[in-house]
Amino acid sequence: MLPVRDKVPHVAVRIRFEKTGALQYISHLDLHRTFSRLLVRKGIPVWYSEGFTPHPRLVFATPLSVGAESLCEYMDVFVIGSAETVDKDVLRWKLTETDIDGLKVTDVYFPETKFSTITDSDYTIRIRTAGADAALAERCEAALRATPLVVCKRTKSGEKDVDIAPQIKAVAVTFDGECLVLRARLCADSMNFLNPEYLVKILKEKCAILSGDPTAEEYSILRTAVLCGEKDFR
Amino acid sequence: MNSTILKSVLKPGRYSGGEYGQIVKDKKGIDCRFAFCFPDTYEIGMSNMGMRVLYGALNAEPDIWCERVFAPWTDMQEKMREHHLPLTTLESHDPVKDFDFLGFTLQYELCYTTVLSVLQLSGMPLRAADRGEDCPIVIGGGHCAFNPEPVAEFFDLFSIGEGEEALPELCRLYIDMKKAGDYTKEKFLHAAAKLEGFYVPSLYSVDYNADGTIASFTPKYDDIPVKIRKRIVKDLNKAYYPTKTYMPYIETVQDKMTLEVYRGCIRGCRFCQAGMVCRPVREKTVDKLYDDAKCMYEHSGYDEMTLSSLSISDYSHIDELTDKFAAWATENHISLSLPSLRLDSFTRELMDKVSTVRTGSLTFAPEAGTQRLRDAINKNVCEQDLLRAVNVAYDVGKTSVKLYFMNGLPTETDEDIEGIALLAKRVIEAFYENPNHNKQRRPSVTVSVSCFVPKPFTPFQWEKQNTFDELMRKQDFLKSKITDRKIVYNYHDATVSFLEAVFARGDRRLSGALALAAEKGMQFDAWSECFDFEKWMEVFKEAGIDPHFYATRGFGLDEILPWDMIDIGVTKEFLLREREKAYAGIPSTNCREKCNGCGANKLGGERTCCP
Repeated sequence: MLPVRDKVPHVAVRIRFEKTGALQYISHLDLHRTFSRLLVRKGIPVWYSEGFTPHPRLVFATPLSVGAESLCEYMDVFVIGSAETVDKDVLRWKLTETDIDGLKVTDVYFPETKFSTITDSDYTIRIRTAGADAALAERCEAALRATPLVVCKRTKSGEKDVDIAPQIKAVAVTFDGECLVLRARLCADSMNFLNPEYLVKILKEKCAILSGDPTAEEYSILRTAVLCGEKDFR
Repeated sequence: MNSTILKSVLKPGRYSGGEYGQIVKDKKGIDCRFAFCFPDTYEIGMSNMGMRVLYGALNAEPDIWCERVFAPWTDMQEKMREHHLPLTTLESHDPVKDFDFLGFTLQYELCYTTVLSVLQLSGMPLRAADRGEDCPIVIGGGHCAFNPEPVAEFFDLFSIGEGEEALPELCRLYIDMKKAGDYTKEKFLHAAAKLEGFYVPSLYSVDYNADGTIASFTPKYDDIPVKIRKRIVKDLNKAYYPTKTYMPYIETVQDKMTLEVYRGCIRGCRFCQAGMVCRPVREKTVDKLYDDAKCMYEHSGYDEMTLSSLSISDYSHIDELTDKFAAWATENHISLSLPSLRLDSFTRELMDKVSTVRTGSLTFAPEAGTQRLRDAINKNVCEQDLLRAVNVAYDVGKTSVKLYFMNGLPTETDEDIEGIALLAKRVIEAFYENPNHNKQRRPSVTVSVSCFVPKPFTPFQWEKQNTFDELMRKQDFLKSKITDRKIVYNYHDATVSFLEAVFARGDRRLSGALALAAEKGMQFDAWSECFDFEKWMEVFKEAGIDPHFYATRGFGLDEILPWDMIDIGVTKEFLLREREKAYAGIPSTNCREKCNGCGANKLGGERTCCP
């Protein structure tokens, strides 16, 4: 079928947001629904696709696994109008208060880059575990710096052993007097995306962290930056 | 909620709470904390409209805080048991056991074991008699509470009928007694039993005859009613309706706006409990519905709306309503659905206005295969209605139709069952006879057949259910009659329907079997992966209960029925008259044409069509 030319003029708007708290437990698909409804509630003139089942088109930058928080998520949405007629400051103002706990819009602008230019993500993983001290932090860092670093990945075609060392760009583990603090820069381009959960998994296996009472031990994953090469993605 | 545990279970969004629209209050100003439980998974419970209504109605009171509870799935239950974590609500994450009330909405019989599982996970004794002042008052309501007897021992009291006005009143009584320093659970329950629409089972005693039937049912005090009359909301235009409500983040069964158009039903199908217990018919005005719809949309941003009722086309102003809503919906990219469309009202005009057309197939419920049986059950539709309806669908290019039927209806013969196959065949033939039919695809008809379950407060409440051997024979017989590969045949598990019948018409003695089932860890009976019929039969044997006594035995017309102490407005005399007409194969008129004197008008209210 030939592509149908859309009748209503529309322009892509990029929304940068934080996803924290209870919202970390909702999936990508859930967030899509949640955001569509939020935009409607806020009276944003969202453009609907003009096919058989019209729907708003939302595109998210990089996957974020369930159980991970983020300070820097990006989403593009099409809004009716053009770069000349749409006032991004009005949109930003309308979305300041998102009325959803854990969802905070931090910027709204017309995008000049593509999501495909994203290369890496930075994460901070805080681990509250029995026996946490500077020595354990050192052992953890060493474990994550080993090459090769083979983990069992679940893929569509079954389980597979994969060396993830090339996907870890930088890693450091410190002890802040209470928790182990793991900072890592991981590949985030679509071909080499590495889920930060694998780092926790490796430490559980090799350094026996988080092996005690789960009601006293816990960990949190926070995405702190999305990068395009050395620079922050925008 | 502990994050390590949340990260280790399926769908942690079931337990994390914090949804948009949830209500969080400052505990300092609260005199009554109400934990409201839908005894099934989050995805099922969050789809329930009744829970939304009561949640909103209770939270509309500034000194009452109502919170949500659902049954955790088995993986979460394991973690809770392992780490001794009590069941908590979603809003405050406080233990359910610390609340003033724990309410259960009882929507289907197979949730009873899950109710008990929730009590266990909350750290409370199952039986009301074993629970002290340190436990919340456990209250039940919803459709199954019209015969609450099978679960009577587990509940302190039941709310009979519509709860949006009754529950806040009950909480008010509780708060007043507490503030007056006059509260004990015993005193409170006695006082509650005097409120309209509340049944306190421990204040009534039951005696049995040698044959197992009920000999007498007696209140233990003179000042409580012998018959408990159900509550109704008098005027739906003035009653609370949740236009601002919670919205799930994770995918649930029904995640859209639901607008209740009216209550009750003018039809009176003789197998249908809802059609009797929801009487009298009370409608909302088109203006009220339109205002509510706009408010719901602005508050939620949903793109789907269901107009809900027992039979939407019977709404007095259906044309005005659908005209107004169709224009509004199109403008705002909202898809409208009318799920309870009778096939005799399905027209091209209506189809153009609603988006049920977008979904691939259309569903109709002739319920029975022959006109004789449809007359006996008072379904009041005929083959011509069905053929006309499917032709409307074929005209616009539809190719698939779903048909719902029931097996095991009273007076059913093999001829009626064969009639289902013939009717399905006629629907296929009609496709080819229709000159406008879709030329690209071949037609398909899905025939879904459930098993008849006799329900309290219906003209068929005395009927015996077919044995499951008989039901299975009928299912096989129908299968042998369906030879066309364009007809897909689905049927319900007869053993599930048997268990439904046992608990639908059971009495207090069934509490023993339920407690035993709970001890054995049985729950989620409505889930095929959890339902274990063999295990249930063992439970009945161990509890000394013959389940056939409740399901496959015809109840005597003069027998005291376990639910006789409930007054739904509709009289037993009316049900008996309807039963006789069923056996004579005579349909009844609908309420709008002519009143049949069911008795529901004595409940009052702003009625639409009763005298």
